[in-house]
Amino acid sequence: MDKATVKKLVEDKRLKDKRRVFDTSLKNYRIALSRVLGETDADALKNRARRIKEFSIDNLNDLKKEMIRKMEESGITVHEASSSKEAREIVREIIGSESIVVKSKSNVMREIRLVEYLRSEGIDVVETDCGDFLVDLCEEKDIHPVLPAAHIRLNEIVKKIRQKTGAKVEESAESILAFVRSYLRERITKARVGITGANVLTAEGAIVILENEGNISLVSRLPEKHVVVATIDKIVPTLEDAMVICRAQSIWGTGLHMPSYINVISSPSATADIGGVKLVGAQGPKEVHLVLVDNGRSKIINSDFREALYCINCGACLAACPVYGVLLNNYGGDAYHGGIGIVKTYCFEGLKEAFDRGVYLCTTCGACREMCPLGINIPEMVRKIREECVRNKFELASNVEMIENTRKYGNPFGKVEGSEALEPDKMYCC
Amino acid sequence: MGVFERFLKPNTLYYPGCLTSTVLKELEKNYDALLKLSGINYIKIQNIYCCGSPVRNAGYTNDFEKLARKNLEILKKYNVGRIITSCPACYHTLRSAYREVLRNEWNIHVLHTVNVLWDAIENGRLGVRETKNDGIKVCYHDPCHLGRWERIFTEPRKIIKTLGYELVEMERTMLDALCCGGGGGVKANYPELAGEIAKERVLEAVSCGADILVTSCPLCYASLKHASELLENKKVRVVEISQLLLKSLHGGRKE
Ligand code: SF4
Repeated sequence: MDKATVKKLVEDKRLKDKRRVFDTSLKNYRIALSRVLGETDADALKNRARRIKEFSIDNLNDLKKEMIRKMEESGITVHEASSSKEAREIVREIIGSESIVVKSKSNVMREIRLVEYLRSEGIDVVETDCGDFLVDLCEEKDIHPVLPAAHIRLNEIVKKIRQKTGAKVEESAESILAFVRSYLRERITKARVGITGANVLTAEGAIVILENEGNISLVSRLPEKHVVVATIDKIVPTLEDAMVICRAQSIWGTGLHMPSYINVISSPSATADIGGVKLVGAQGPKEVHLVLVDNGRSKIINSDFREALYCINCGACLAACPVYGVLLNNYGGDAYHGGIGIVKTYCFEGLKEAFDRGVYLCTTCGACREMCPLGINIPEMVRKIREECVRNKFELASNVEMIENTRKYGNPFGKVEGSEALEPDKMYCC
Repeated sequence: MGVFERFLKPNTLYYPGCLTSTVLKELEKNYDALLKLSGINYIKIQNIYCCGSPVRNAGYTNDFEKLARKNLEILKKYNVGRIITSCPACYHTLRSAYREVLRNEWNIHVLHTVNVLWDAIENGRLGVRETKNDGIKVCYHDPCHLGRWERIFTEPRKIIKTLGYELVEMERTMLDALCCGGGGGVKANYPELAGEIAKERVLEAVSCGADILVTSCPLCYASLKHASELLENKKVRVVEISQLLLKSLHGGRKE
């Protein structure tokens, strides 16, 4: 990202306003988190989560094979997708001739740009997560994996609801929610395909999804087909391991000891109550599909970027990041924001994209790593990407001046006759 | 000390770091004075190179390794066994990053001035003048390279308290401290962004009720001071810890 773009963003009034609105959510989150952490043996939990992820990534291939075997035994169809394109096409095929699908929040769906694709295919895709629904309605962009719409003012939402649906809604959170609830309920009962993500997958064959709103239960139970889109790094050995990850996700994601619901799905719904024969597709879905996305992940298992696979997308690092605090979702990729977003953008989309999305914005302050339940060393990975940038001549003017000075004079400032009045953009330090 | 001893006994080097030695020279003078007052014998090397922190953080890894090797050679030539630096970025780089590239070849002990000066105060080598700082509230901004990356939190706070100030904490402090916004090359590459973050930090100091915002890093100091000027903030004075110390050591020497 170049200097002028960043300057413009910093001075952008609309972005400043979003920050102001979003700040309230962030502050509340920080308070909730520190309270929960005070009541938890956080270090022990972090250690356990870290060990589970390390083991799982070490043994990913075996765990994956085992999981697929178990799932197919219990009637879940597993589709492996090596790229975004493949994943999108698989989902498209499962949807078949249905014209409406309901979906819940999922980062990987954003990563593979599923919604845009399905819409371009003429399918009506309904976001059922309240935040995502509002982002969609207001033609905004999500700014946070857990709080996607926390930057939108209520009057804006009310205006859009009236514009797009004709419904008259009062300017209060309760009134907006009542509208969202009844609007979405109707869509969900109509849809015959529901798509969700997953928080954890287990080698024993379970799909584990957390939620607080209740929409995931509906989306995964009411339609006939439930499609789960999840990435390979979500696999852990057992359900017990999955619960550790769920707890970390809940604590660092929302500041709650546990989420309202944890869905564990290990087969399509079934009954043997009628005449003693097992019938698949009882009161829940008849078909469960897991689209298992790789999209560059197996390539980084043994690279400097392996730790990116430990990420559980809780968003805690964002709350700690000084740069995200100013630039919000302008820092990082579309699906993953902030420093970890830069790392993932690099891994899944490439160097140029990571450069454009702000690999040089990171102050390497390390607050993210401190906050992260998995202790992921994001600044170290950012530095590695910068190395790659230098090798490929993706450089910033200031850095070029800094390195030329250093090569010539042995110090980054060159021949300055010292004064405190040095322009900030000449402060090549740290 | 005889010629032989002088020759054999490893030297202590004061390494101010490039920002301090080329731009914020006044801080270098402060540390010279403080180290001398603490009775520490040290040398300075004029032709030593940048530690390489900005080089490393900007991704110029080959250059960084070269700097580390060149510096090692110079340090060997001067028989340096111990480095004292007043710059947290140099501290972190010399202490941790050099070990990564030089491995076992690197066995020089690295200290930050807050450790050295606190040690001197505690052992009575640096006498703190009877203070009249009662009721003046001071908050400490943890430089990322010193706090989070090297876990030095207590010494600077002890210094502040010993000087008789009332220590207050900002909302985000120690491990959670908000960066001044200048690290990782951001100050030079994106000055507006760095400035915006620094302003946020200064405002945090204002809202914790501090009269003085003190830090122990030249870049944090420059960034926060600049932001404070931009904010036209009159509530909090931004100072570097050497200024605070000297004020209490010499009958109120000017900051
Ligand atoms: S990097 Fe860590 S803190 Fe950030 S989203 Fe991933 S798991 Fe959460």
